[in-house]
Amino acid sequence: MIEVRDLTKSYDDFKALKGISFTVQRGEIVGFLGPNGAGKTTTMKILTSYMPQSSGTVTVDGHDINDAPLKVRELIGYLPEANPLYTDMLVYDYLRHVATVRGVPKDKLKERIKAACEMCGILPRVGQRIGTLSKGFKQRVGLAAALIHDPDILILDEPTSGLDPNQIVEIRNLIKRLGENRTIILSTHNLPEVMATCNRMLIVHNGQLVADGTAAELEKRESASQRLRVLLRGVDPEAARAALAAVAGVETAHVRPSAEPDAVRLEVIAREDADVRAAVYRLVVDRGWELLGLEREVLDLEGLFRKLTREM
Amino acid sequence: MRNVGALARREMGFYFNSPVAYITITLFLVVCGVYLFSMDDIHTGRSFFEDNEASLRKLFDVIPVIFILIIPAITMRLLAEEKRSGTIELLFTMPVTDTHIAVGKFLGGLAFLAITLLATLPLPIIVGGLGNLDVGALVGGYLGLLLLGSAYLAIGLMASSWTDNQIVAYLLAALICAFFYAVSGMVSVVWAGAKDALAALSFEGHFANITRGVIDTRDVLFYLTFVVVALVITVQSLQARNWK
Amino acid sequence: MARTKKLAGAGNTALVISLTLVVAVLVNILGGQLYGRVDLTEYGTNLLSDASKQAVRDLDGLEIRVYISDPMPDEIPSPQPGRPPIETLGLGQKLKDKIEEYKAVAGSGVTVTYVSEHVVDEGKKARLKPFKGKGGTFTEGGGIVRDEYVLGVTFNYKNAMEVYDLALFPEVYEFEMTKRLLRLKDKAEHAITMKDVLRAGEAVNDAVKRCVTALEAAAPDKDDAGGAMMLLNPEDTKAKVGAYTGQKDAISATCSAIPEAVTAAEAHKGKNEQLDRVALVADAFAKNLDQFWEQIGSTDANTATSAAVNGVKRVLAIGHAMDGEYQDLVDSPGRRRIGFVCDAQTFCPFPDNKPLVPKEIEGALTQKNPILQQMLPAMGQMQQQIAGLLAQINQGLFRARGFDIVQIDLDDEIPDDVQSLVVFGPKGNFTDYQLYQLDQFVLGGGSLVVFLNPWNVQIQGYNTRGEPQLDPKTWKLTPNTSNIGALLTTWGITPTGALVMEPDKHGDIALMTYLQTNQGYVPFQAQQFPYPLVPTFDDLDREDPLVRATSTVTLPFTTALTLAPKAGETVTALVKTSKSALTTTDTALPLEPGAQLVAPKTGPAAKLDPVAAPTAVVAVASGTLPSHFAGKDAPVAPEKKADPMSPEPKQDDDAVKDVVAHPKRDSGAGGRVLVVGSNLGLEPLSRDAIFAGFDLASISGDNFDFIEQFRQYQANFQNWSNQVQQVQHTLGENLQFLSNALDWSIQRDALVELRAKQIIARPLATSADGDHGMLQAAAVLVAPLLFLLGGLAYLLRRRSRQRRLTL
Repeated sequence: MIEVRDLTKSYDDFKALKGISFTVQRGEIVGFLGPNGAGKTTTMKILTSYMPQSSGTVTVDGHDINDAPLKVRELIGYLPEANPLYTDMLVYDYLRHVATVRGVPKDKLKERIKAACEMCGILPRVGQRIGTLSKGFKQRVGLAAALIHDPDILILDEPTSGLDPNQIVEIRNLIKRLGENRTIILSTHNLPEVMATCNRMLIVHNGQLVADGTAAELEKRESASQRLRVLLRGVDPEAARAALAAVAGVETAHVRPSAEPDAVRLEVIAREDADVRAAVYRLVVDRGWELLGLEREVLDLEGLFRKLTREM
Repeated sequence: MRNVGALARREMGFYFNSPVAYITITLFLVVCGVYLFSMDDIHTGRSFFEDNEASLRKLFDVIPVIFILIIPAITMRLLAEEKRSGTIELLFTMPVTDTHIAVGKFLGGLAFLAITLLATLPLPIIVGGLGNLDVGALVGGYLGLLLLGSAYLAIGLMASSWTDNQIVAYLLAALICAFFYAVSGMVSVVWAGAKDALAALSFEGHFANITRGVIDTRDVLFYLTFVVVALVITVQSLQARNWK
Repeated sequence: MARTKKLAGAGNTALVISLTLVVAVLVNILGGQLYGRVDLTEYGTNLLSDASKQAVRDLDGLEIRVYISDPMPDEIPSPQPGRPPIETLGLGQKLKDKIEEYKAVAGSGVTVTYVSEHVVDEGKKARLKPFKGKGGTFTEGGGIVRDEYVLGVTFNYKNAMEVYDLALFPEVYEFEMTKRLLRLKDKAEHAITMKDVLRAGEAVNDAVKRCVTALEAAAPDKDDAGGAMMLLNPEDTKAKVGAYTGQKDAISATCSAIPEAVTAAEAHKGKNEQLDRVALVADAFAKNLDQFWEQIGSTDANTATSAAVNGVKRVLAIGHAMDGEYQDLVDSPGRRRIGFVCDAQTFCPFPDNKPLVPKEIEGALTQKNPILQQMLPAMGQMQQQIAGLLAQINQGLFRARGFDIVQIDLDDEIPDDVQSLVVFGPKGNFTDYQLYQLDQFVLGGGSLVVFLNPWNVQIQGYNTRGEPQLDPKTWKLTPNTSNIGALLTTWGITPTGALVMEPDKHGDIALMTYLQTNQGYVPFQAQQFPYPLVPTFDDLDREDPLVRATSTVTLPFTTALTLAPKAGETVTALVKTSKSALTTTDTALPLEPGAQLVAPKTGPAAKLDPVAAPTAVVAVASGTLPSHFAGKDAPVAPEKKADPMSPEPKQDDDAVKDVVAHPKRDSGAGGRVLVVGSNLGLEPLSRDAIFAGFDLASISGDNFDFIEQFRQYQANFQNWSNQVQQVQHTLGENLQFLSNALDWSIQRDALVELRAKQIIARPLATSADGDHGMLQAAAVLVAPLLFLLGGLAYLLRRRSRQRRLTL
């Protein structure tokens, strides 16, 4: 559905995107993740043909965004980051305006507006001026406007920023519902949001794509080598290290400083496919060491995200 | 073209769904009425009834000047406000070209102008009731105002596309309008060689012809090309976002 | 990479914008060549009328040469003093447009040449008057020679030419051009029939021209600075005398053709007034030349010197005067002249320069009668003043407006080129023969314009002691009786003699306020008072171009007309009174401002008659007009009497001219009569009117009664200026009407039509001041308020709809 190849974008001397490539399949809900300033919004703006890329290509449903920007825009429903709205207009008028500009046929206008409002839960507010709505409702109006022409693709830039927790939950549920029959790209710097709504995530950092996959895939990828933390008492640290390193499946072992005075803290890196915990336990028992703790460290996504996006 | 219409209608809605437009136009009508009936003509120094002439010439003298003040106020927000509030992003990501946007905005302003002119119709009706008004010259005058106003609108839109500050847009537009309106008057100040060229650019000269009741294709063409040029510059200025 | 992209974007934008600009300019330039115009105005004010189109189509082979200075000054002083300067911006283009419009109509029949090289010099050669701008070059003497510019057109057709110069007012371009085209056509047509006359004139002109050239070449002035300088330089003067003496024979040979040409021209004497003048000037030139030769050959050195310096100048001045006279001759074919009838005490704008008392006998008279010592010069002065005023009126009111007017005495034959007669405010009676002349003139297809003068109104008149009569009781209203009415009645227009008053709409009368000093009353200042006897009419026949362009006509002391068309003719009222007009024939009508409409305090109330319906004050009759003398014998022409008081016999009264006895007509078509109920305030001013009853015999003896007579003359003159001044402000408004009437009378209906469309008067309906207030309120408050309320209603409706809005 969306294919991005070697996308770069420079603002004067600052390189906002340094060659990003990814594809999004029909029906995916993709979370675009990254810290502020990573290039999320830039990518979205290029995808929606709001601004041109410096190099690389983007095709949406087979249309190049530079060659057929109008076609691309027709396919996409877009909720910009700040959710700009004509605050002087009534919700109904606004949606009608957007629908008309978007080419919704006249006889379908009402139907579409109604559908979008229902979906976003703003039906009771259609007669209200947008300026008088709460932030959450404004966000819904923005969403409804993005949905008004029943687009195949929805691009939502930080759809929950600035909302209170209840509103966030509502919007997330809404996005999930929308994603049932659409392709959605959603940008956020908030990992739980992606976890809650997306079936795939792309992590950008410093203008580069650093991770791409489902939550499970990413978790797995990061746990390709596992790490055991072993805490022993009454052992020679060096002997213990050597013994542990000799266990089948273990790659290396390191002595780590310990918080307890007579305890030895060891870190064991093992191959991913082997669960060396049993072998380690047996070794400790065989040697008569006193085992204070054995713990396999599981890297979660938060950690991964932090790791990937740490300043280098 | 439906989307252009929708863009224009949105601007219309902005003007006429709030009292500001009505108050502005009402004030404009009062000024026109006062000038026509209660003030002495700048040229002849006589009042309407002293002149004893069923003519709206006085009105056609003064409206172009009032327009220099009013029309930039109509147009200043057209693009500058969209830029400031970020709604321009919505526009740019909808399936419309920059030309559609410029034309739609322009037409929205034109509709405001047309309604303003329509609202002045009671004046010719009153004058027509007092004496035998030359309908041809009247039609010419209104057509001239519409053309002149269009040129002002295009200038205002252009100025609005250059900035996200409405005040700046207003001042720029009013300055440019005033320049083109009075350029023939400034001719003697400027060097003589450019006189003819500058005079040909003068709004006033072309306007004077039309208000006499002659529709000359040259005058119409002048205003139309002026509008087109200003719109092209507007579109180019919108596209300047792509330079980055 | 980013940077190049950015530049490319900016470059592309620059390219698009500059391309658009170039295309826009090109489109406009192209559009300037191929353009169309539609005139939306009611009478097609801005585009050529059918009359103009016909005029240019009639001149197949017309050549138009256009002279437009480039560059032009920004503004030039107005030719009319006291007016703001004229901005020249766009004038050239407007002139071109108009010419192109004519050309487009005529197609290949017209060639247009735009003179581009040495425009000013070429223009001057083509007799275009240049105008001066602000700029100029300093001369060595410290003076400034202002730059000269031309803006004008010449029309050349066959051998005839018409010049339109100082084309500074685009609104009259069509009028002025078509006027010249019409003249050009007449000129070209008549030039054929006048070939002999024109040739004779040309011969005279050529002879004089050659002689002038030879004379000028003999001793050219070294310096144009003036004669005064040369007097100081005896060397130069001597050389000049020598040069003239030396070349006398050669020059004389060149000039010898003049007498011959003059004799040939004099053979045509009486056929063409202008040829006569050409011959006269040539003759004067020849005589002065002879005198010059005499002086230059004089043995007295002073005489010779004076001749070489000043004498030759006089001769040359006469020679140069020939230019104008010859040009008038060339212009004379087809000229349509307007005859002003100077009988029966009409207003006759021709100065009479013949002194009342011949200079030769003045001395003898004063010797006999010493009191004449003061009176005769005073009378001479008055005469001069009268002549000056008349010359001014003649020039300012008629000639400057392009009317070729000529004095007509109905006892004489009416010249053929007079196509219309104007009888302006007759106070006296015409003789039967004079009426017969008028009658037959109209029946023969001529036009007659009559301005009636029904009443003599003496307000603040002077008595013979030179005191103004300030007591309104002494103001007098006396009917003038002229028998012109009888003639007009024949054609269905009867002057009723009743004074018309408009209670609601009228002009002012200007009355003088006086300061009383120990030397009597001294005029202080004129003050205007609303005056119903100076009625303003706005019920004008808008169908008729004669008055279409006129918003209102203010006719002082006008009479009402009764219209009764005879069989075969049409009589139309052009100007009518309002319904509320009053008429009176009561001479006891109180005359002080504000008094006419209320009963006078003493004596019986003046009788005021309301009009039954709007009544005509200006009317026109045309069609087949009957003769006043139908069924009667034609009156016999009077014998020429040698009356010293009658105007000098005119040149064409010579015996050479055959007086052809025309057969008497009993009716005739083509003639037209326009009758205006007022004399527009132009009271007759002639020597006869002021010095009424003057007789040389009465002062030849030692007769002291003459003092009284003299005082009466003074009072007459003062009263005349009083009367004119009291209503002269109305004349300005009526000028257009007057011009139209005169153009109409010389059958230039096309011009009347054109003048009418230049300025279409669109007067406001009569309304009281209270109505104005109402209207102002309506325009200023009600209309905007309605709009505001409409807007608010719309908003409220929208608000309530929006509250109920559901999907």
